[in-house]
Amino acid sequence: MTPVLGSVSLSLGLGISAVSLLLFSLFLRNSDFRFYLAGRRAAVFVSVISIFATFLLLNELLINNFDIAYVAHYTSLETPTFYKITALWAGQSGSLLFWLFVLSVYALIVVYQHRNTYNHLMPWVYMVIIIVQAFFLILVNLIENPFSPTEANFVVANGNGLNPLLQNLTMAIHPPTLYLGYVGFTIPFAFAIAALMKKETGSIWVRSIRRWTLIAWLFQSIGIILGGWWAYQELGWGGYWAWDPVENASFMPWLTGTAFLHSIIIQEKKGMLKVWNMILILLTFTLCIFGTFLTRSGVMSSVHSFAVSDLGPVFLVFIVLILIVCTILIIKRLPILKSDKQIESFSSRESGFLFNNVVFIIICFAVFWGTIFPVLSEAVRGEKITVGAPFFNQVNVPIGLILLLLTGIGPMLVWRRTSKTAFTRNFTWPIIAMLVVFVGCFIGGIRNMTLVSFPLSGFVLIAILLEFHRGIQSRMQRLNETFINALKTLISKNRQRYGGYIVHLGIVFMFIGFSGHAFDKELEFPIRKGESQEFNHYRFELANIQFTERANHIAWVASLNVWDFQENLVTTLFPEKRVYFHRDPNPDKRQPHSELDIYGTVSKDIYSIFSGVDTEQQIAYLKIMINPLVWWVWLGGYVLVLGTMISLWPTKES
Amino acid sequence: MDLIFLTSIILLFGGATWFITSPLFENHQTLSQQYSQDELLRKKTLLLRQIKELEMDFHIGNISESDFNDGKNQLKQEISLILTELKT
Repeated sequence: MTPVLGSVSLSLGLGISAVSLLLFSLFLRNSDFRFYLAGRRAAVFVSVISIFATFLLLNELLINNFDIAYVAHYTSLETPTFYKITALWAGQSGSLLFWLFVLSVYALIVVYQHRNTYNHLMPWVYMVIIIVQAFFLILVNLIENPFSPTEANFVVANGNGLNPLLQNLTMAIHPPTLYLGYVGFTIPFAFAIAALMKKETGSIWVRSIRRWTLIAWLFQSIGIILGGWWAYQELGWGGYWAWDPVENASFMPWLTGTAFLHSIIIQEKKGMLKVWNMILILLTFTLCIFGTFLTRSGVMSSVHSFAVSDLGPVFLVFIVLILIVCTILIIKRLPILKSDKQIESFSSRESGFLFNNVVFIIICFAVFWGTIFPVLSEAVRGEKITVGAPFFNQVNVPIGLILLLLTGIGPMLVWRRTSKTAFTRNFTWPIIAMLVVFVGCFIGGIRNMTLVSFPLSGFVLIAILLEFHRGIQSRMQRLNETFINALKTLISKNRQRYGGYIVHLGIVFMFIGFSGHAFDKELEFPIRKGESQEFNHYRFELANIQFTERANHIAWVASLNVWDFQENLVTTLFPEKRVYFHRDPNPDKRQPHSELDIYGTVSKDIYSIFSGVDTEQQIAYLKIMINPLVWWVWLGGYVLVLGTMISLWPTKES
Repeated sequence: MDLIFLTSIILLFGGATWFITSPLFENHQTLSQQYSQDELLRKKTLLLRQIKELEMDFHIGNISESDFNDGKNQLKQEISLILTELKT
């Protein structure tokens, strides 16, 4: 009964979304407030029914209703309860329903938050949100219904179970956060379209969507970082970013979203870049849909992609429609989107923001080009030419370093024009710091790209600290505050600005972490129990290999003692070689998996992978990687989240 | 079981229809297309905050004195317009 109820709910949601659009259209035509109220209620109903359908599917996953194909495909009797919940977004149709669920939650928040504000914009905002909801309702109703019955003329006793790679805590959190990011950009997009329709170009509504954008951006950032963390912890190749098409798909809207967050400051303060801002937010949303298309259509080979499906053309049509509508709207509104002022000097803060935007867009374009190149090459030349990590690194590392430099320069520039005095005062210490780090690195024998990235990191770090110093000094002198009080009030009274600087600090830490990649080392070797292997100033001793059987897998656990050159025990690592679905009579269905173990410190990670085991000879095949400075990437992530939270924290309206 | 299912489907459809259409049978005032009082107050708060930020920029040397005065006067003018609108 429940699966039918689920399908009926989704159909009802689709039908009501059409009704809602009709009611809003009637309101816009004759301004009868009753149509507006009814349309809004219909919008609420669409969201509630979509959420209801999601909970129905969740219930079916939890009670192992293998009569539903989705449940049979992604869970089994052995799947732990927690992963039965995460199976909701593990497959194609479930993840589409989850997209709809997240958008519905956002939509309800928008309805509640703006029940009495922006009355002139809200009908259009609701309409845009409903169109996006309707698109996903079409997908889950007509193409990928998560409530479809199992296509078998026998009772399914047990399901396939969840992919072992997805049975990881980070992987459980990563997709929902990324979805919150992707889907969250729908709200500023809806406001942007509404503003274009209503010819609203002031700075107040921009300020309002800034919050929504920041929320979406925060989740997108967390999602990307968690994805990197998961790849690092689970995939066993020693890295956190592989320029995989789906990783790129999440990175592109993040880049344009970041550019937008910077450029709306200019619109707020100076009334400039109005067209540019519109383009950026529309592009960001389009890239979010493009990212979902990449993951769902199967046109790209990726660890994230699902099987090839019929979704591709539908997504493409939707993307093309969005682009056409947005382009027409922007062209029609060009006369009212003119800037109030012009950039007066190359050395102004406005220019700094503009350069930063240009760099973000160049990186985005490079990533976009590299991502779609295999598809284009196949379409044009008939053979798929894959663009690998070397291309992305070669193009993006230098541009990324320019971006890092601008992160430091931007805040030190003065609005309108930076005078010589201001330039000397603001730039002297950061330049000295940069030179000191450069000389230190050079003397230390560094000759690779880090000879640029470390000094630049030093430059930006000092620039940010100086910004804090100047603000604190100003408060201490003017208001006689103590250092601590001045720091606290400085941040609390200027959350947006200093939260932003803290985010920049996080970015610097991340760049320090990325730079560590230049010093990575690895060794793969077989080792018997009791033997040792020396590598990179450490001795690795295999103390034991233990066999164990757990609820949903069997595992061989290696006990690997790590000794330094003074023969001090640094740590003991326990990498595992696992086999999932080991009870399955069909050997092809058993899935081997290497569960690695990492010893992380501020300066380096010792990364151990148990590649294989010879049980008769008691030989373990291990791979050890020494990855310097990875810890800084995660630290940067935490700092970035902290800074964004500070920016988002509501200010007292006193 | 079928009866319960049928009833719940009917309730779902009936509830949806009532929930959505009920405003159509009530009398409501027209939706104001202007900024409401709350919005004007909010706008005023945002402008006041912009003045604070401008002062901050001035104190740490991010804008010149003339720019500071120009910017502040402009924001003050916008606030006085809002105050006039609020009074009327």
